[in-house]
Amino acid sequence: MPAALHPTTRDSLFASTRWTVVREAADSQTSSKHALSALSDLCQIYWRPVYLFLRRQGIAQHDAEDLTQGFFADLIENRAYARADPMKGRFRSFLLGTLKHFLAHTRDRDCAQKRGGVLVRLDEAGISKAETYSARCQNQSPDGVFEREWAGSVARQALDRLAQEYELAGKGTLFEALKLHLTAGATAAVPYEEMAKRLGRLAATLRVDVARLRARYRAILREEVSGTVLDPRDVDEELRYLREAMAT
Amino acid sequence: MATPVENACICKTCGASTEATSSGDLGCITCLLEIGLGPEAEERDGAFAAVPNQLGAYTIARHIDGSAWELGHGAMGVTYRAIDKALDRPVALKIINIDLGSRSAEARERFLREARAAAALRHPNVATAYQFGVREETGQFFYAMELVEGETLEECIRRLGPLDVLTTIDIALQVTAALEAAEKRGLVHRDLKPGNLMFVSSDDNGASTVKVIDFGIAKAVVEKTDAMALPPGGFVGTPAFASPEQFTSAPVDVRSDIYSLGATLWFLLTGHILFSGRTVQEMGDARRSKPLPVDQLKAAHVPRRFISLLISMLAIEPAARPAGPHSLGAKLQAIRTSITSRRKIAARFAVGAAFVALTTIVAVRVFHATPPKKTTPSVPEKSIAVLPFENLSHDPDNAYFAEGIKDEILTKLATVRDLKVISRTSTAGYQSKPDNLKSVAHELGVSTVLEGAVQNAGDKVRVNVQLIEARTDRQLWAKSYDRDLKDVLVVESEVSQEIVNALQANLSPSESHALASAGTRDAEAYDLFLRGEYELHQAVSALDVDAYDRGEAFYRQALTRDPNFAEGAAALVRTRLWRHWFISPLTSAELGEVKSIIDRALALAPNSPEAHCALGLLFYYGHRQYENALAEFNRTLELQPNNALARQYCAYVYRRRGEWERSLADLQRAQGLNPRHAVIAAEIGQTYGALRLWKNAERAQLRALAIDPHNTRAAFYLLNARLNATGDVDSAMRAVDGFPEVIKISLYGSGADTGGDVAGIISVRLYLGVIARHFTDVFQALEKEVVNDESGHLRQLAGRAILRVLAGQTEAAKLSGEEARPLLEARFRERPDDTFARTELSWVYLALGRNADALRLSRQAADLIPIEKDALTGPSFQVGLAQIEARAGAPEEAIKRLRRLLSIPAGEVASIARLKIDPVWDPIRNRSDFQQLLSGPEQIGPNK
Repeated sequence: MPAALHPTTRDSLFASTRWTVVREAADSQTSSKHALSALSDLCQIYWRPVYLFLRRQGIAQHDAEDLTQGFFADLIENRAYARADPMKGRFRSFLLGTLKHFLAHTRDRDCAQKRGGVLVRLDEAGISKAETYSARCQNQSPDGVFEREWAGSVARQALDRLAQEYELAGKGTLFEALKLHLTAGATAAVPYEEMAKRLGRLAATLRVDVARLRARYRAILREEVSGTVLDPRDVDEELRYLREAMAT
Repeated sequence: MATPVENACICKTCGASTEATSSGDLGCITCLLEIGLGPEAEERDGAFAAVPNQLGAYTIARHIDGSAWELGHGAMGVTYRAIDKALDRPVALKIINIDLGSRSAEARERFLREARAAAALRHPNVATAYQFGVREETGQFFYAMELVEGETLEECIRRLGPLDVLTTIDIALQVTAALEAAEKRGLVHRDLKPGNLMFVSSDDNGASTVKVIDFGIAKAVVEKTDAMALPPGGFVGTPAFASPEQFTSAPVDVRSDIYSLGATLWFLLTGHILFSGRTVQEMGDARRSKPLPVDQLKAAHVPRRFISLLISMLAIEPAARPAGPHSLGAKLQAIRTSITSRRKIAARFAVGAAFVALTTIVAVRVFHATPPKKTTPSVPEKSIAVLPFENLSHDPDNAYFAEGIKDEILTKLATVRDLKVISRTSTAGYQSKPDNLKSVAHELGVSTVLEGAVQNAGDKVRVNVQLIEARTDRQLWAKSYDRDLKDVLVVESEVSQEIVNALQANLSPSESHALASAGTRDAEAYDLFLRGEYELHQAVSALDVDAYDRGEAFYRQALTRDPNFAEGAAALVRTRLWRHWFISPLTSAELGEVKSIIDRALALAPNSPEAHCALGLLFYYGHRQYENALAEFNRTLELQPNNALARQYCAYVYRRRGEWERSLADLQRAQGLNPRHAVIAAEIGQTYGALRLWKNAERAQLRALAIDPHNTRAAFYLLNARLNATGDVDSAMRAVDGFPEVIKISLYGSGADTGGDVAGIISVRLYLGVIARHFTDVFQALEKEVVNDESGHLRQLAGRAILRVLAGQTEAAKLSGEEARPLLEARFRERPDDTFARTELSWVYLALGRNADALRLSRQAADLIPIEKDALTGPSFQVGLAQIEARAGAPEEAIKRLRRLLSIPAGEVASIARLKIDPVWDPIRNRSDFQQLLSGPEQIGPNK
């Protein structure tokens, strides 16, 4: 079963080329369906930084929601990504730059808000959490908020994918029990022995399970980050940048 | 998720704030990012190294760096590649994450018993389990199974994305076969999912295999002291693919696996998990509260029939799902056939069209044993196929109305000599608006296609039609008609006229008149007529007695409404005569009534093609007056040149006249007008069979069965051709095994009067048993035969006597003969012209030792249908007479008769290969003149 030993998943292939695909499409006259799909996926993952940046700019909640939609619509319809600086090579920096440009040059915000329809799904729970945070971050810079939210979005996407994989494998319950260990490492709040009793598994097996969980999460996280940079060698640098952003 | 912190905002591990983003619910983002920067190899330390080297006879294989060679891991355990040291073979070794050591001896024993029961399952689509064991030091349970070199379907989908429909159905069929085998052992998988299906790459023939792994293991793991209780930690199995009943304490059976298979197929087709949720409870609830997201299937272009099947597999209540794997397999196969047949028609048509080209040169080419060369068919410009009209009415029962209007337009167009019009049977299998119009037109050999839709509500009807040029997909003409129901007949005439104009077809005055004429002006009579037509089509297709009777009732009601409705009268006659021939014979008085109906119809409408065709059928089926019949069929073709049915029956008449080439030519012309009609292909095959051109015969029957896999007639002819060609009864019996159940039932049912010899009286199953000389089985099978009518009962009585005679059981034969005689004599008195009754009675007399009476009756039967008058059926009565002669003291006559039969086209009933094995000839087998026959020649092809 060689494929199981060296899993090359469709997700990994796709994620590693998302931003590359979009950038390549920018060089041609028309955008391919694939490129638009990759861009839509990226927008769906990273709407929170955009939304909270707008909120931090003092834009009211409902207007920020509409403007977030309008911004992504403009991005796709006007092929704004064709103007991205290839030297910078980060989707994160491109999106922030384009967002600032959009705000500065969109005089008629009403019109911008209504254009394009719904391209990105802003879920209610997400808006609610973003609003709670928005109230807390009034003393932080909009750029800082954007970057920390970006880091949070990368982690969220990786965890969502991991959860889906476990669910598919019939290990949803196990995932729910073990995901705590991702952030807590060896200092888990719930001892393995106790968890073993609760889950009916051997403690030794649970240690293996946690090791596996961390390994898989690591791989997915790096795939996701690699989807936002042009050169895969930049993944470590981008992760470090985000870690620093969290510390500031 | 709760954060691993003492202070709500500060991470205990790194000291960062967990409130620095809106994603605080995830825990510490900094730590989560840190993992991405951490060492890759951390998974290999600690617990990973704890994998043992040896479990029982198995050694875990290791990579070069010393890590265990893991093949996969799931909720229940991890699978490793291992070597069976005892047998020196690679295996897959699964270590289950349960502590069996903590269980009682009784529970442990029960667990192993359960696992071993599952392991007893042997099937090509199930990975075989070899051995079970317990690792004493940890209490871990492990088992070794067949190493399947491939990947799971979950891995496959994640790598390649969703699969196409046909591949998915092929996978489903293989899993269904595995489930069927398991069901026979009372096993339920309980954890069927993409991750438990191994996909093994294609073999040299391009076929891939799917193997189900972990059969029954889930149950073994779940089963504890209380069989209903879930284990600690919750759900064993995979909630994403589990059936609703698995979330409760309700018992599960194979239908639970059918649900899981449905959810698995959904994933294969869409790449999506059907219902997700964060907890087992949520996922269980979702099944009952959320509708199936069918749009996902539509977006994946899954055909409607397959969607319906998936919906039924995923029904909440087990009773609403397919009853079992067998029934599910049949449904999947039907869907697969409908998809592949559409794709294959083009290839078939190339052959079909080549047949059409064989007309005047038929004598030269037809009788070569090689198939006709495939040629590119030339499609006439003025040719049309009228596809089934869509029924847009809310009431599905109105389907007959849409179909009827379409048929009427088709019938009118068929009168135009300048047009080639494809018959109804060949277009019936297509969709109303196919996506692949060009290939449909190519398959049918036409340049244009008429699509339509009908909506009727109350006394209003709307008909939309469009004529499309297939080559360019260009609309040549389209129109929408909104009319009162009573004016719908005018619409049919108008549509026909418009099509003729659009195709610039020449119309004679009589054809113009035919287009404009309407059979009845009475809307209700017409409605009843359409209902009758609908029933008759059903009846012919399925040999459905009830549908025949319903059709007849509708036609009669239509004639009561409008006694001058000639087309209705013709239809009534047609249904009566087909029922007479294929179901049960009419009495003389009943045939008289049929005659009076058709006479009146012709008096009302002397130029009605339908009425002339019906009169032809009366001559053909009612009285075996083939010359008169031919005249009527030819008249029909004059009035309606595209009438494939009349063309077909002309061919039948030529065949009975012994004009074999001409018959084949007309059959092939009929096939040109009706290329998707299995019966025509089957009759072509039968004709080749009579000519002893066995390969051509077999090829034609296989073509018929490809068009309609349930065509009993083609299956019967195919068996007969194989038996007569080779005398290989085992091969014939194996062929029966490969037929669909419906054909088996039909072939194995009570016999039918298909000829004047023994094989024409008893059923196929009995006859094959006789040939194989398995008389004990034959008698048992005879007693099990169920007959539903009087003629079947009489045939069974005669059959019993015949079989006793053939088995050499003289006394038993007499008893059977005595039982049968009074009833058969009574029927003979009632129907003195019934040759089959005469033949059956002759065998009863033979059983009773009344040889002279047997010979007399058998000779009378042979004289009634002589070969000179009926070259197709006549030989069977000659064979029947020879069979009686061989046993009634007239062996010389029998041999003389057989010699003649071998020198003429009588391959359906007489071939040297069959003479060699048929026990009916045993009384004369050792005679030198009989042996000379077996080493002599037999006529192949028509007589010069």
